[in-house]
Amino acid sequence: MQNAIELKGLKKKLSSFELGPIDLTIPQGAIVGYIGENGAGKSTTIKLLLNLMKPDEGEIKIFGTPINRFSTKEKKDIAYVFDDLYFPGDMNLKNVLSFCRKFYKDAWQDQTVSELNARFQLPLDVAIKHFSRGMKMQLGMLLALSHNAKLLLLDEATSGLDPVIRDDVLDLLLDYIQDETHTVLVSSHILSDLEKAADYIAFIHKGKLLFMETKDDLVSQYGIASLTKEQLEEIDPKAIVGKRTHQFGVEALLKRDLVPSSIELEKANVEDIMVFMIKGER
Amino acid sequence: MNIQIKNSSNDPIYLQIKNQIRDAIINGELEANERLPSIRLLAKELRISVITTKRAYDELETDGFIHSVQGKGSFVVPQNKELIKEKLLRKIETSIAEILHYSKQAGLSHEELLKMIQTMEDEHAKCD
Amino acid sequence: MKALIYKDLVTLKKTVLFVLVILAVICFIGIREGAILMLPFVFVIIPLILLGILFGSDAQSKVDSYVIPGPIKRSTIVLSRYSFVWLITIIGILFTILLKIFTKDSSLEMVPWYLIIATIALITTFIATIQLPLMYKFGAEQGKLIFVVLYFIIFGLFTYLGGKKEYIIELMGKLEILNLKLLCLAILGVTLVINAISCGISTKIYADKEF
Repeated sequence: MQNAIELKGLKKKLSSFELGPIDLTIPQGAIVGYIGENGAGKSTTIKLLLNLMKPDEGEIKIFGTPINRFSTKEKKDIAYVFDDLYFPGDMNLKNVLSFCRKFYKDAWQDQTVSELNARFQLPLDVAIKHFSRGMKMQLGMLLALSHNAKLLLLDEATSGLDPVIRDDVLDLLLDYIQDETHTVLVSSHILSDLEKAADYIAFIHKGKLLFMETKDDLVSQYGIASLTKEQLEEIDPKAIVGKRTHQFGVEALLKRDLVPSSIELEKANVEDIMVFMIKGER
Repeated sequence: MNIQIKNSSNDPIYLQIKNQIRDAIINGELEANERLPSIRLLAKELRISVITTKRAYDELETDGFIHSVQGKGSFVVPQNKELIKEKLLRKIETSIAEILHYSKQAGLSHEELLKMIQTMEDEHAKCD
Repeated sequence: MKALIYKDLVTLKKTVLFVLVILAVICFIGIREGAILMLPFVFVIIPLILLGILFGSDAQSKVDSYVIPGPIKRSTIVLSRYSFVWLITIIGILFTILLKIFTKDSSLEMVPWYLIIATIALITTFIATIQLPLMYKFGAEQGKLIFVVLYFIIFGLFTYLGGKKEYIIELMGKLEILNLKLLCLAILGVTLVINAISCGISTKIYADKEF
C-alpha cells in the first residue's frame, strides 16, 4: 500500500516564521493527529498540501504523485474541512449543494448527502451566515465526505466546538476509515477525544517536526509523576522531559524506561506530552 | 463477543483485547473457524486506533489462536483442547503452590483450607 | 466552471434589484434627454459594478480557499470571470440591436449594426480588461477604489458626449468615407487582442497568488 502523503525537505518561509525542513510520511488507512501550538506551522503545512501556497523547497506527494502533477480529476480524491465555511454567507444549503454538484460532477454523491443530513438536520433554506459554529462544521464535513475522496484533511475543524459535536466528528472519522484506502489528517492544537482514534501523532513546534510516532508507543513511553522537589533531583535528568514546579511540589513528565519502578507514574495523554515538551524547554 | 476496556488497568489496551479474545477462544465462547470482527470495525466500536486492534490480532495470530486471510478476515483457529488443559493445569499448580505457602504462614490447617475452598466455590456458583 | 458562474449568479441575486433600479434611472434620464445612444453604454457600467461586487464577495468569504484545491485549474477560475464579462457584452449587444430595431432615434439610424456590435464589444470589455487584472493584483478593496474613480470618469465622459450629439453625427459622416466594414473588423480585432492579453495577465497573477 502506498503512502497517502509524503513530504520531503519541505520548506516555506513566511513573514512571521519559517517552516521546515519537514520530512513526513503518512501511510494510507491511518488517522493521523497533526498537533502543535497555534502558529507552529500546521495550517501552513495543510495549505502547502492543498496548493494554496507554493513551497520554497522540497517535495510534496499525495498518493505517490507530486501535487503539481495532479490532473483536475484526481483532485476530487482530496477533501478538506477548514475552521470556517469558505462560501458566500448569503448562500443557503441548497445553493451550496447545487454548487458542489456542478463542481465535483460525477464524483458527487447525493445519496451520501441525504444520509448525512438525515443525521445533521441542517436547514436547506437558511443563509449559511446564520449557521452556528457547529452547523458550519457539520456542513463542512458533509461536503467533504460526499465526493468519494481518499484523503481527508481537517484544519482546526473542531476548534471551539462542544464535546457532543466533537464526538459526532469522531464517529464520522471512524466510519470514514472503515475503508482502508481512506486516510485522515487532523490538524489541531487540541485533539482531546480525537486522540482516542488516532493511529499516529505528528508533533510540530516552531516550524519543525519534533516527532511522528504511533500514538500507542508515544503514550506508553511517558508517564506523569507528582513529586517533591527533592525526589525530582534524584531522577536521571535524561528522564525528565518537562516539569512544572509549584509551591507544594513538582509535576513532571518522565520517560518510563529511565525511571525506577518505585516512582508512581500516571498515564500521560497526548496533550500532556505536548504541553510538557513545549513548556519543559522554557 | 464481548470486549471491555479499562483505562485504569495497567495493561495496555492491545493486551486487554488480546487476553479477552484469547480467553473467549479457550472457554469456547468463540468457536473454531468463527469469523472475528475486522480490525477496523473493532477500532470503531471500541473507539481506539486501528494500530491497537491490529497489534492485538497480530499477537493472537503469532500465538496460534487466530488466522488472518487477506481480504477475507480473521478466523479462530481450532484449539488443541489437550494442550490448553495442560497449560491451565500448570497454572493451577503454580497457584496451589502459592496458596499452600500463604496458608502455612497464616497457620491454616488442612481442613480449614478445604473449607475455604468449598465456601468460595459455593459463592462462585451463586454468581454464575 | 459552471459551478463558479452559478456561485456568481447566486451572489448577485441580491444585488440584481439594485442594478435594475440604476438601469431604470439611467434609461429614464436617457429617454428624457433623447440620447438613446447613451443607453447601450450603460452596459459599460454594469460589468464594473458587478465585478466589484463579485470580487468583494469572494474576498470576504475566502471562497478561493475552497475552490483552488478542488477539481479545477486556476486558469479556469480566471476564465469564468472573463466569461461573465463576455456574457454581459452579448446581452448588451442584443439589447442595443433591439433598441435600434424598435426605436427611431436618429443617432442610431446613422450607425450600421455591425459597427454597433463591434463598438459595444470593445467598450464593454475594455473597462473590464483593465479592471480585472487590477483586482486580481491588488484585491477587492483597492480594486473597488479604482472602480469608483473609473466610474466618475466614464460618467463625466458620457455626460460630455451626450451634449455633443451634433459632433458625433458629424464624426459619423467623416467616418463614412472610411470603409466602415474595415473599421468594424479593426475594432473587433483590437477587442480580441486586449481581452486575450488581459486574460493572460490575470491568469499569471492568479497562478502565483498565495492564500
